[in-house]
Amino acid sequence: MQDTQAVRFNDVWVSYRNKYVLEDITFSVGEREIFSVVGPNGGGKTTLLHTLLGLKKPARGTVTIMGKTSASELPPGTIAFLPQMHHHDRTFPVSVSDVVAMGIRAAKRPGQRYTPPDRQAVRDSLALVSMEDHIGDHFGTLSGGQQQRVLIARALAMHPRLLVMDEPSTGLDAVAQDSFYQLLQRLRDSEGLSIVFVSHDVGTVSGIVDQIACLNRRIHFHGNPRDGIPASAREAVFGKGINFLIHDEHCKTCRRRR
Amino acid sequence: MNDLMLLEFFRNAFFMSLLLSLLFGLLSFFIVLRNTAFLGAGIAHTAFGGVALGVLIGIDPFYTSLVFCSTAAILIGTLARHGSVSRDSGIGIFFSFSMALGALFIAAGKSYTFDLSGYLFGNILGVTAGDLYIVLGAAAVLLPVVLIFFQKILYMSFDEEAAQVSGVPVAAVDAFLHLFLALVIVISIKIVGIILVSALVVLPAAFSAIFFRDYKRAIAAAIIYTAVSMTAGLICSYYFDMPAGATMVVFAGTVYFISLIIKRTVSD
Ligand SMILES: Nc1ncnc2c1ncn2[C@@H]1O[C@H](COP(=O)(O)OP(=O)(O)O)[C@@H](O)[C@H]1O
Ligand SMILES: [Mg+2]
Repeated sequence: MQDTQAVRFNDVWVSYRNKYVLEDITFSVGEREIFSVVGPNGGGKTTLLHTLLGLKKPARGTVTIMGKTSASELPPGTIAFLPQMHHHDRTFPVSVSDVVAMGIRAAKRPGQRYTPPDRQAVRDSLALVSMEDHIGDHFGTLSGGQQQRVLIARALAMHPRLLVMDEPSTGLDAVAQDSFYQLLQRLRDSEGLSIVFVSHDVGTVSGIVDQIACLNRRIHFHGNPRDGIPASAREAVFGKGINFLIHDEHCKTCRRRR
Repeated sequence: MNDLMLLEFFRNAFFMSLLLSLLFGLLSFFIVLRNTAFLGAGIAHTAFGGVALGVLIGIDPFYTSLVFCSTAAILIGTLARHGSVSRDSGIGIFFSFSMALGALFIAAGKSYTFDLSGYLFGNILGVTAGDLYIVLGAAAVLLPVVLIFFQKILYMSFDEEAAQVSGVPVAAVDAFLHLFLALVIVISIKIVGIILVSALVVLPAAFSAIFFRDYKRAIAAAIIYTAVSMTAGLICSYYFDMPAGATMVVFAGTVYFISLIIKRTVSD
């Protein structure tokens, strides 16, 4: 039977050095769905993404991704991954366009050339994150937030079917963040992209995602955040007495407050 | 210069230097970008145990040190990948263990006298036409592979996790690069020696990083810089009767420092 879910976790347990960091993880992400994972530092968000991508093997349970049991069975370029921001060596001798082209070039077989349409895809995806004026710049001279936008463009340039991002909004200013979240919605609606991303900003992402999962070793809640996140799950994941505003297009006052 | 070329050992060493420059220029670029510069020093020192064993049991030390170095290169990479030992600790453990073994092997074969300083600092008189063929063979394998997979290696050097998700066989490419580094290091021990060879792993990329922000130019500059340093060092060493390996490394190091100063003063 064809699995119509983009991602499906079934009773997945993941350990480092015999200690479980993820327990009993069960959820699924539909096609054309934006799914966000929120939770405290060390809650296992990065580990969850790595397990999804096959970079980390689960101790128990099964992961299905685009109908396959491992991401490596999919054609290169089906999934794009933006890892958690890490410091890139500033002397690394690549330009912005070199970086954005990396994913496209990696998906090519030996002998296949980098073509004018590829070049166009690089320009287009830089335009999506408003970095087209920096196409020839040395990557190392950009600011942290600009680098992050270029890396987002690299993921988009591959035209993946599933986009996986670990804290993509790190370093983005308020304007860039706003347009980034709008971009995600556009990509879901126009290209049918499925998107899984980790975020800290529960309030902001609640307004745009289809599903949210509150993760602290276990998934304490998952569902549509606009239906309300139970107080028990909020407490288990963020501690007592934490409340957050849900920003969405219907809530004019929330937007003005930022 | 022409009369120098009539000397067989010199001719061999000269052409070998040119080929090694090509190999080190490329490898250095990836090794330094991947922040694994210490790996070169580690693999080189591991060769010591292999050399001493070869001498002790009467096998060409090239083969024994190749076994030692490639084993260490693969094990260091594998252990680091599994998170059991950090890469730097792995390197430190392997090379000191191998050097200690080497000291024991030398002690065990006390009757045997061998050219210890030749292995430590290089001795170009020992370079043969056979060595030249080995380097040619290594270049014939390494260059096409690197050219074909260049973009994939660049991607994984920049961002290993993202590259792996994009379908780059990261572990295999890593193993290939480590094995090749081991081979090229073992080959060049005759010219520059165990102690000095790590200079050739680090300096080419470090030099080109001073001036170039484009990877094609950076690699070309790394290769040219290595070729100039090695051949200039070779020629100087002949005329001034100095050890060739040390002359090459001092030459390369001096050019590096002068470049660094020039770049600093120009950009200030
Ligand atoms: N490579 C690793 N080795 C050992 N423990 C790890 C490793 N990576 C993560 N962990 C542990 O797993 C837990 C979850 O980490 P992580 O998934 O990075 O959390 P998050 O991304 O939510 O901050 C943490 O307790 C962390 O210490
Ligand atoms: Mg994380």
